[in-house]
Amino acid sequence: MNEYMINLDKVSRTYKEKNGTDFVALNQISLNVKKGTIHGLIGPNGAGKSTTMKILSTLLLPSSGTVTMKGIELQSNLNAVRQDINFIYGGERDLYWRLTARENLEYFSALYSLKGVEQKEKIKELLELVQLTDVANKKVETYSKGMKQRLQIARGLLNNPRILLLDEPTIGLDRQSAEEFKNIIRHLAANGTTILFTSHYLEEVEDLSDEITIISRGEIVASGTAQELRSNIGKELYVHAVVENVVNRKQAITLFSRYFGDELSVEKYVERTGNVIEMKVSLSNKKLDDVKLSSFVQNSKIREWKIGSPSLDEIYRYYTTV
Amino acid sequence: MRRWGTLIWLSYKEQYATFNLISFMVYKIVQPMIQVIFFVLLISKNGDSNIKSVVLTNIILAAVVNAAVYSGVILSNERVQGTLKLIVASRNDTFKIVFLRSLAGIIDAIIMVIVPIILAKFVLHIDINSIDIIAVVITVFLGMLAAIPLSLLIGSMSLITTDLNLFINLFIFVINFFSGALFSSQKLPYLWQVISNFIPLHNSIQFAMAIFNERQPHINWQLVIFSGREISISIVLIIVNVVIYKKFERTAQKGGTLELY
Amino acid sequence: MRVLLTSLRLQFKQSLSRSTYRFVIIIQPILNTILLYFILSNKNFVNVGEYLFVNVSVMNLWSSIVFSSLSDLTREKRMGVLGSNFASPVKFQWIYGGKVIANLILALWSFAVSYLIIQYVFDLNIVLPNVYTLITVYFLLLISFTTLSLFLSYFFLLNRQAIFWINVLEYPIYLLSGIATSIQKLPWFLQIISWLLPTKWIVGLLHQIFNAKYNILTSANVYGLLILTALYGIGIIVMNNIMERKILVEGQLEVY
Repeated sequence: MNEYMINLDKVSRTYKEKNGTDFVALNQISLNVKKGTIHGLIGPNGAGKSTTMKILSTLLLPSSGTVTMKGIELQSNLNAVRQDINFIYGGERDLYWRLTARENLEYFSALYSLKGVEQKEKIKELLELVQLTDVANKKVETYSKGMKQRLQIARGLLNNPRILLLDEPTIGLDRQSAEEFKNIIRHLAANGTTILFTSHYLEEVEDLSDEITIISRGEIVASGTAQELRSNIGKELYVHAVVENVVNRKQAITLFSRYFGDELSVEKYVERTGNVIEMKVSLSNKKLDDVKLSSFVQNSKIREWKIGSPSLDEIYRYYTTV
Repeated sequence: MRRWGTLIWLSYKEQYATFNLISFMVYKIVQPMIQVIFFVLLISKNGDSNIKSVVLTNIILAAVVNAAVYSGVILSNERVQGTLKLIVASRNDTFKIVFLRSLAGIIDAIIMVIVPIILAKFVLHIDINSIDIIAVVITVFLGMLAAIPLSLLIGSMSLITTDLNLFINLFIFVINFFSGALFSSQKLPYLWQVISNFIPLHNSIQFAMAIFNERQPHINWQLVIFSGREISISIVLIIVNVVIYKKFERTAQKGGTLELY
Repeated sequence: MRVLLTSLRLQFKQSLSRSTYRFVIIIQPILNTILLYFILSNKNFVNVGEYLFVNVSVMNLWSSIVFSSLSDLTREKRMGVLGSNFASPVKFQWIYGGKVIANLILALWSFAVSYLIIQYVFDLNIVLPNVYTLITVYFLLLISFTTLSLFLSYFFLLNRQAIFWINVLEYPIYLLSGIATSIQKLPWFLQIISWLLPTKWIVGLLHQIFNAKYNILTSANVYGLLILTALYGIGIIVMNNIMERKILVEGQLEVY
C-alpha cells in the first residue's frame, strides 16, 4: 500500500489571463504527504498555495501532472475521492448564515450520506467538540468570527475525512481559539487523519507540522521537517548581523568580501530591515576562521551578530525572498 | 465645486464599474425601452389612450425610476464594501455626501429620456417633432429632484436592514403606481388620488402629459403648479431624510451594524 | 433523493427567512394584481378576472425565478458555499434541484394570493377548474419551471453579471409570454423564441383551463410544456457537463 495519502507528481496549473496570456500558478510541483501526518504548506501570497488546495479539494483540475489521493488518481475519479476528503477555508464564508449551526450541519451531512441516528450523533459530537452546543439553534449570522470558524471546523469533520485540507484555518481566531483548534488537529492526526494546511502564522506551522513545504512563485523551494529545513541552510553558514550604514545588497557583499575574500562568499542576500541584514554565506574551506571573524566584527560596523540555526521565519524569508 | 464634481463622477463610475459598454447600454436604454413597450401594449389594450403621450410619459417614468434607484443603493453598497464607516468617521456630513453623489442620477435620467424618445420615433413611429425637449428636460429634472430624496430615504434603511431589495421594490411600485403614466390617477379612489399628489414624479408626469397632449394654453400655469408641488415634495423629503438618516446612523452606531452585512 | 429533500427543506427555511422573498411571494402578487387591475380596468370583456389572474401569476412565477433561484445561486457563490456543495460526493443538480423546487413551491402560493385579491377584493368572479385539472396543471408548472430554472442557473452560474442579466430579461419574458399582447402580433423571430419559453405555454394553458368544458389532454400547451421540459432536462445534463469542465479546468467557481 502506498504510504502517501496525498501525492502530487509534477503538477502544473496555468490560468488564462484576460489578455490571452498564460499565468503559471503551479510549475511542476511534486509533493508527498504521509498518512496520519500534518503537513504545512507555506509561501507568500500568490505563491500557489490556494491553487494547490483547490486542486486537492477537487474544485480545480491540474493542467498537467498527476494527483493521487489515498491511492486513487484524482483527475478521473473525483467522486471516489470526495467522500473521504473535506476542507476548511479560513474566514467566515462557506456557511449558510440564515440557518442555525445545527441546520448547517444537517445540510452538509446530507451531502455526505449521513442519516438517522448516525447523523444526529455526529452532529451532537461535533457541536460538543467545537463548543457550540449551547448556541446550536441560533442563526449563524448572529455568531462571532470565532464561532463561525469553529462551525466551519465541525462542517469539515462531518464525513470523518481521511484527508483534511485547511486553508489558513486560524485566520481571525483569537489565541485561545487557535490553540483549541490546533489541539483538535493534533487529535485528528493522532487518529490517522492526514492533514495538509496552509498558514501565514509560521509559529503555528512549526508547532503543528510534521513536515513543511515552502512554495514560492508556483514552485516548491524546500520541503522536509523543520529540522531538515534548518540543516539545509545550516550546512552553509547563516549569519544574522546588525550592520550600520549598509543600505543595499552590493554594499553588504563588499563588506563581507573585504574581510573573508575567497573563504567566505555571500551567496544570497536575504533581507534588510532597518540596519539589520540577514545573509546566507558559505564557507569555501568549510571552516570559520574565528580570528578573522572577530577582527571583522570589530573593524566593520557590525554591532551584533550570530551564527547558527535560523528560525522558521528566517528559513521562510531565505527561500522566498528574491 | 470641483471636489464635488469629482466625488459625483467617481461615485457614478464605481457604481457601474462592472458594466461593459454593451451591458451598460442594455441596462440604461434597452431594458427601460422594453419595459415601456410592455406597458404601452398593455395600456393600449384599453384602446382609449393617446399613444404618443403614453409612450413618452412611460419613457420618463422608466428613466426616472431606473436612475433614482441608483441613489437608494449608494449607502447599501458602501456598507457592503465597508467604506461607509470611512465616510461616517470623516469630518463630512454623510447624508450631504450621499445626496450630492446621487445627483449624478439627474444627468443619467435626462440622457435616458432623450435617447429613447429618439428611438421611439423609429421603433414605435411616434411623431416627436412637436415635442418641446426643454420642457421634457425640466420634467425629468423636477421628477428626479423629488424621486432622489425618496430613494435616499429608502436607501437609509440599509443602515438597519440587509433586505434593501424589498424596500427598493416597494419604492419602484409606489412611483409606478401613483405616477399617472400607467393609468389615469382619476381611476383611483378619491383618497388615493389625494395621496398621489404627494408622491414624487406624479406632478412631473401630469405636467408632461399636459405638454404631450398639446394643451398649450395651460402649460405656463401648470408648470408653476406642478413644479411648485414637486419642489415642495423634494424639500420636505430632504428634511425628513436628514432627520431619519441621523436616527438610523445613530442606531447603526449603537448596534455596531455600520459595516455588518 | 434524501439530499434533494434535505436541500428542499432547508431552502424553505432560508427563503422564508429572507424578507425579500416573502415580499416576492406575498406582497408582490398583491401589488401586481392591483397595478394590472387599474391598468386594465376599462377593459370590457367578461373574463377580466381570469385574465388578471393568469397574467399576474405568470409574472410572479418568473419573478420567483429571478429573485430566488438565480439570486440564491449568486448569493451562495458570494458566501463561498457553492464550493462546498460542488466538492461534495452528491451530484450538483440534486442539491440545486431541491433548492429550486422549494422556491417554486413557495412561489406557487402567489397564485393563491392573486386569486384571493381578484376574487374577494376586486370582486371579479373567477370560476376555478376542477381539482384534477388544477393538480395536473400545478405539477406541470412545477416540473417545467424547475427544469427551466435549473437550466438558467447553470447558464448563469459562472457569469459575474448573472443578476443583472436575469433582471434585464424580466420584461422581454413577459412580452414573449403573451402577457401584454398576443404572441401572433410579434415578429416571426420573436415568436420562435417565445415557443422556447414555458411561460408562453403556461399562459396559454391557464387561459384554457378556465373554460370548464376544456379537456386539457387535448391542449397543445400541455404537450408544448412537456416537450420543453424534456428539452430543458437534456439541456441541464449538457450544461452540467460543460459547467463542471469550466469550473474544474478554468477554475471559475470562486470568481465573483
